[in-house]
Amino acid sequence: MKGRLNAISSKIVSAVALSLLSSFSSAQSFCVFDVLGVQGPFYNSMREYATLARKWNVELELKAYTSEAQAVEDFSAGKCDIISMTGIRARDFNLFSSSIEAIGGLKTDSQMKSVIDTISRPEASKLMIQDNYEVVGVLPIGAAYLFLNDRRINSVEKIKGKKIAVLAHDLVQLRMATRLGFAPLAADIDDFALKFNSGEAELIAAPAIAYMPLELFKGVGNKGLVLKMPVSYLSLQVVTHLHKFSADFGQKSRHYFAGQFDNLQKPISAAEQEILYFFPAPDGEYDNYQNLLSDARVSMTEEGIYDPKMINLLKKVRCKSQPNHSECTNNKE
Amino acid sequence: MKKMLSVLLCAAFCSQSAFAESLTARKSQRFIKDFYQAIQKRDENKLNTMLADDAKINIYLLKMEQGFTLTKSDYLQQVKSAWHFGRNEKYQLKDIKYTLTQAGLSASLTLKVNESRVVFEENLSQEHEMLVDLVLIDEQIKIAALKTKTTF
Repeated sequence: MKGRLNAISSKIVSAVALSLLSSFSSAQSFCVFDVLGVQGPFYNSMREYATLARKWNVELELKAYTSEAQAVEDFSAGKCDIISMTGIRARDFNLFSSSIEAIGGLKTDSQMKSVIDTISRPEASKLMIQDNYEVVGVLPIGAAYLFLNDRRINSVEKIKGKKIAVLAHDLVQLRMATRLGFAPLAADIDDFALKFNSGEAELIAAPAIAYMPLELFKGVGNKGLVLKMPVSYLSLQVVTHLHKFSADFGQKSRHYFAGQFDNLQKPISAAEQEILYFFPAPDGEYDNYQNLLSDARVSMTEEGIYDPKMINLLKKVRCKSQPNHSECTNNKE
Repeated sequence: MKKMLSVLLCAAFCSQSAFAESLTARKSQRFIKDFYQAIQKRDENKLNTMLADDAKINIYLLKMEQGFTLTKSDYLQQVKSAWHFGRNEKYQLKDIKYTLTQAGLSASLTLKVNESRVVFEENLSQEHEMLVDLVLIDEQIKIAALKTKTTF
């Protein structure tokens, strides 16, 4: 009798163990956008993340996407449980976190680090959840700079009316371009750089990490210039279907990515070192450019394009660096 | 007492003359030639030591009639990216003139530089009219300011 009981309890233990094992082994599908596919730096970062997630008993099965639109479509359709995408696309899932990319919102890498640290704290966790989605990580892509094919376009007045290539799917870019006085030229991710390099567009805004892979130096040539003044700070955002993961997963994940900032920043800083004709704003023009960016940001926030809570946080971080700046005593943001 | 006075006087003037010797016309001119040699040899470490950390670099583009103010790191970044994209660099220095200021602690040089290189298969040449301020920091000559008017 005792032997039979032992046999039954051993079967139960095995069944429980098996079911536990199977729950660990049923991997969560992870759609990873990287223009360079499995060879790309973003994919590589996500592979490291997946390795770490095993310690939290989360098995992530990565699938590389070179088309971001396709990745987002699959995520929205429930084909992936988690996705990494650019902050531009993350706007559809969390307005607060994607507004980190607000025009002229941040001026330095350390300010970006400070904002990512802040929104990755447990106190901010509620803001990282919207509808049934949770942002479980924000990673830096670096500042977006203006690449010009003619250095005679050297003032706020002269950039008005110039043709800028913008991603047609991104309403924010289109709005931003018109708000800044540019003539937007619709492009998709495949011909965005081509339009600039061929001279069809007179300028584009892009991060330094795009400079060598997309050969943007061809568009700048020997007569152009890259304005060393961030137009905005770009990000990669990792978003989950909220109920596909345990309640504490999001916070652990955000904490992990915030701790990776310095590592992730290294290739960005290296890419910035490569840019030829990389000049700060001409003497006397910096404030004019900043006012232009600031006015655009304020009106886009009023239109609901940016989240006021994030805009306020960005201002706090800017004012911590420059407490005497005039904006720190007004209530525009 | 006389001996003591002469010791004190020597302490005051001998040290000043030692500084004065450090930024002589010859040494200043040698320094600026070394600077361009370091650019030619792509010696980043040497360039880094030759520029003061707070060096102010002003570039005035004659064609655009517009000035840019660069930090040391902005300037070095441009020098390095020009190395990356350029080839066949040549630098020709001429009309180097020297002015001594502050009793040998600082000096100013004016000079003309003709610079040429090939970038993106295009032969580029620029002429610079330069004013370079040199200072002694920890007994080392460094560039404190570099102002250039250029045909770039």
